[in-house]
Amino acid sequence: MTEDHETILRVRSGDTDAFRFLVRRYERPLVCMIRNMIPNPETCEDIAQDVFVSAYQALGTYDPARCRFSTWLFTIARNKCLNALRRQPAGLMADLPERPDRHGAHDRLTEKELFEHLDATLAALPLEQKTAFVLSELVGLSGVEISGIMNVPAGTIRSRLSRAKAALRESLSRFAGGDA
Amino acid sequence: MNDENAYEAWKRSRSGAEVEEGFADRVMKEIRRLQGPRETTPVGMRVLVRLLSNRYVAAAMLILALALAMARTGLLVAFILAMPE
Repeated sequence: MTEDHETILRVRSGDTDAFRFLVRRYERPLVCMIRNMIPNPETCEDIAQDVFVSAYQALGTYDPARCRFSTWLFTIARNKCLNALRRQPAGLMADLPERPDRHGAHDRLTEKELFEHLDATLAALPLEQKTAFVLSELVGLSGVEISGIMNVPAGTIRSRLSRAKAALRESLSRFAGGDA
Repeated sequence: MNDENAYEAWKRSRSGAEVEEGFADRVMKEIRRLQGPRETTPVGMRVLVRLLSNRYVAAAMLILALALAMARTGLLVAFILAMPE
């Protein structure tokens, strides 16, 4: 029996405080996921809190035989992110920043400019590619786990991931090369 | 910085997430708030209230109480009558 499962049994038997262990264990990866999915960073921790509260309230429906607790928790987080993105006004969706116009010796982009460009490219990716990329490359989940969260075969995840990586690399090389 | 290095550095910088100190406390506070105030009534009282909320149980308890009261009155009368003058 895993540590998560033992904790869940304690929470189900009335020990509410035991849930804190699960919050502490998953707060960082969850916030990392939400922060990279949602363009508005101010709302990330509110959404993360909402995810944990919803998980607590639905803990009775979680079946350890079907999936790991982390898969179940990230599935809730993904749904909350999708809802938040639907509510997001169109103006908040990221536009790719233009390359700064520079010449001569100062024609080198700063790290900050490159990072901002990559952030904007990630935000502009199709949602399914963005989710696969964030969960795999930034949160560090396995393909099997992402496949469970997104409810699609592992092969589909691999293809979404490879398209997302290619789009980011291509966008970066065009931006750095001055073709953007 | 070449493209590949920039890409890897960007990924590393976006992989970590700083979580506000006390985030877990905030979550637990919200969970407790949604649960409502803690139950302070003694267990025995809660069981009695639940039993009496069933009308058949309440009627049976009333009959039992009346029977006990009548038996007590009967015993008292018998005791008075049996007392020497």
